[in-house]
Amino acid sequence: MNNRAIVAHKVAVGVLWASAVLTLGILVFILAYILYHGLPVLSWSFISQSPTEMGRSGGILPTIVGTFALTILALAIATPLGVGTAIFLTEYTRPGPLTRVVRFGAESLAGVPSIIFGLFGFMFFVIYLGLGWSILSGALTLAAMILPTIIRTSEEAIRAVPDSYREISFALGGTRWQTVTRAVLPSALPGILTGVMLGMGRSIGETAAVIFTAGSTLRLPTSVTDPVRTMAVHFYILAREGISMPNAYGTAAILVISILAVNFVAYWLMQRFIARHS
Amino acid sequence: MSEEGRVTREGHPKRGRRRAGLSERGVERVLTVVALSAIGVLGLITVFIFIGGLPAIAKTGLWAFVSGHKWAPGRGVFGIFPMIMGSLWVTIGALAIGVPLSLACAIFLAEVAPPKTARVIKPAIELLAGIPSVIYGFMGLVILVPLIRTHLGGPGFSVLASSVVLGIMILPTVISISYDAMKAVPEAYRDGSLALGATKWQTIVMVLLPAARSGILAAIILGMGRAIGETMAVIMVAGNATMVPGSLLDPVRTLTSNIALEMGYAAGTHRAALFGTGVILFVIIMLLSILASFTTTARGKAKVNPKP
Amino acid sequence: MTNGGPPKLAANGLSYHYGDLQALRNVTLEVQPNDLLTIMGPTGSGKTTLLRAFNRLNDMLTGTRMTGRLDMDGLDLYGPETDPAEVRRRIGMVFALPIPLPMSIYDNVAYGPRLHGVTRKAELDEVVEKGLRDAILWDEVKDRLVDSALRLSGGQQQRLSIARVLAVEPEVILLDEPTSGLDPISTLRIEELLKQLRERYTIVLVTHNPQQAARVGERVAFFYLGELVETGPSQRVFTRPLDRRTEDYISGRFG
Repeated sequence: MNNRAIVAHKVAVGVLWASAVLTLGILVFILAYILYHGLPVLSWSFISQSPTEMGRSGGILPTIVGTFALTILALAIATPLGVGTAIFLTEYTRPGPLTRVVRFGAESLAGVPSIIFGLFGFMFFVIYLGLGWSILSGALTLAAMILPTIIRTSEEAIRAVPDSYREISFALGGTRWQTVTRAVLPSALPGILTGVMLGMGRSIGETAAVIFTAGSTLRLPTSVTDPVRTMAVHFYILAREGISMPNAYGTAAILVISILAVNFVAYWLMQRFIARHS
Repeated sequence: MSEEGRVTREGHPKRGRRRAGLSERGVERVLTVVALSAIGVLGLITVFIFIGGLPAIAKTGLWAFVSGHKWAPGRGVFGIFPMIMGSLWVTIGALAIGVPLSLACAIFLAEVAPPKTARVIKPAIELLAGIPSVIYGFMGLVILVPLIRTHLGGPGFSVLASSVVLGIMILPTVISISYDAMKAVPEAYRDGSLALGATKWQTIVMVLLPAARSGILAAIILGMGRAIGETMAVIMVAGNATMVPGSLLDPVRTLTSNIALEMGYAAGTHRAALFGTGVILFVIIMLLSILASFTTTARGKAKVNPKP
Repeated sequence: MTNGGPPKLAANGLSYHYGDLQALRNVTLEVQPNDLLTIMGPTGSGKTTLLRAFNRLNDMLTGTRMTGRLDMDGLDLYGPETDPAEVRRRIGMVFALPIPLPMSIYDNVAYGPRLHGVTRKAELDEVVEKGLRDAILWDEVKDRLVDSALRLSGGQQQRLSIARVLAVEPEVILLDEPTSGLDPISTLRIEELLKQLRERYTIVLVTHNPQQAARVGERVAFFYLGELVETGPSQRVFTRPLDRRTEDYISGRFG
């Protein structure tokens, strides 16, 4: 080995380390910056009160309620579809034209930008189905958007369940569905939930897909047919229109804390899943 | 063995007699319908985006629509050439910034990082993917834009600011997919090279990267899709002027921001023109998506040793 | 060999292919009720394939091809009216490696009965206890039924697998090299257990170990490269084998 090669190696490794540190640094900086400016704004009244003067003062309660209503409804729609698709792909078919079509659909959908989901949701749910700007329209749009994530993670989780579990269940006289529900899914559950949490994270932070489907009303919703403004949309409007920087930071802080919590739970579930299958 | 399907006396358990609860055949039918949901949604999206956009494209003419330099909704003039160029510029900029950094991180994680460090970096990158676009855009707005304005001149809202923000936003996508591609390279390749006396870095450049290239290519294409499709972050830092940018410091409007900025109040042909913008965007994304899946299937076929 | 009624299990002219690979060649074999048949043969002789064909576990695989007929009590196991799940309930299967499902000891044993609609707690308790007693595991685990089955030793896990099969009250038990991963003492316990169980069940044990066949089997069948070379009372096969290949095998010249 000549010296130049060794020097090149050392320089390269240095650059690689620097890149990783830079990436980590960007993340830490963003989180720290938002929390540094946002945490002082937070108070019980900020969380529990409705905004006044378009958000210039008052709290952000309706946007918190709106965000979680949308997210939970979206998950309730997308999870059965996503997990069902994953079960279909792993347990009920052999690779063939049909699975290729299903996979193509999921993979392409994963690449569709959120603004396109927004346009589609507006045209289809809001106008064509007549659901108007509402929690329902927004949640359906979000469900379409997070469906591929749930399919992919569920499929990976289900595939990771050892075949021996299936054989045991079959050998004891279990039907395919019994085997799926009693032997496979319980084992794959943490992995599936990881996907659900990732979908949840995406829903909470999404703006473009919900702004044209769920609306941007600041009223507290009373039913799924009411329009809402999510935290992300509220933050965007506050910041972009310069309505109130402190309240924008406060909203961002709650947004970031929610995302952190969701990711932490997803990570924890994933670790449990890995521990169980090794 | 690989040949599919000739099972004489095929005895799929689904043929089983009905036991308590759901019949196996019913379950299978329901699941088949469920499994078609993703492709169904994709189909609906295609149909409704086109329904929304075609009137405007037909009225203006496809060529005039995509090559027109003027976007003046008030006068019914719809040319999205500046936005196409805008999307192109910021995407190239994002790739120029994001791809080297992503590949460096992926190589670091796959080859160099001590396990403990990797255990910190990997979840951090996943978290980076979870941060909402509006937060990225906001960070660009309060940090980057003033920085560019003071040090480099111009309004700050610029191709450069958009490129940096998007470059960071595509990191998680490009890192994780190219990392997977690098991890899929058989250990024996590395050992062979190291055994010949190559340094680790030489091994990475001469063996690892070529072996993982189709996966890396797919990662870059998907990152590109992400950059082209990003909306909220770009709106906040791009300046959104409807002209073809002349330099990195000029403001720019992308296809996505064009839609998001005006959807709130557009009606009639104007709204249709925004959907038309969506049609162009959607077509670009689908082409990229097909290209990416093509490179990954090519990789799948070329794989010497698929996992047992 | 036959004593009147239809055999418990019968293979008639059975051939089995995995793609281009032929695993079984024209095998004809009968197992009488309450027989304890040991199938021995080197790796790749088709023993496991035969068990999986009886249990219809190979249904899940693609690219397999089967010709010939398999019967249980004179009923075609692959007949159009036959429910594979029911076949698998009546013909229990114990695998080479002890694999507990990732749940409690109790839930492992109760898994089968629950599949078949037993839901009452008292009834389940009873089946679980009976299964564990029959598998000679009850005394070791009765105080920790709620513990994860993954905490049991290898030998205990394999007896748990047997208890799990017994709990669905099968008529036949197929065991595919059940002691291959176990130490000698655990192996002996399982062999003892099998001798006790044969009073109530028809048992087919697959092994690649001729000594085990000699210890356990009343009747042995020797498989080689997918072919049934010879079968007969173990006394006779081990002292006066009819075929040269059998002699080579039991004297340890291959396998």
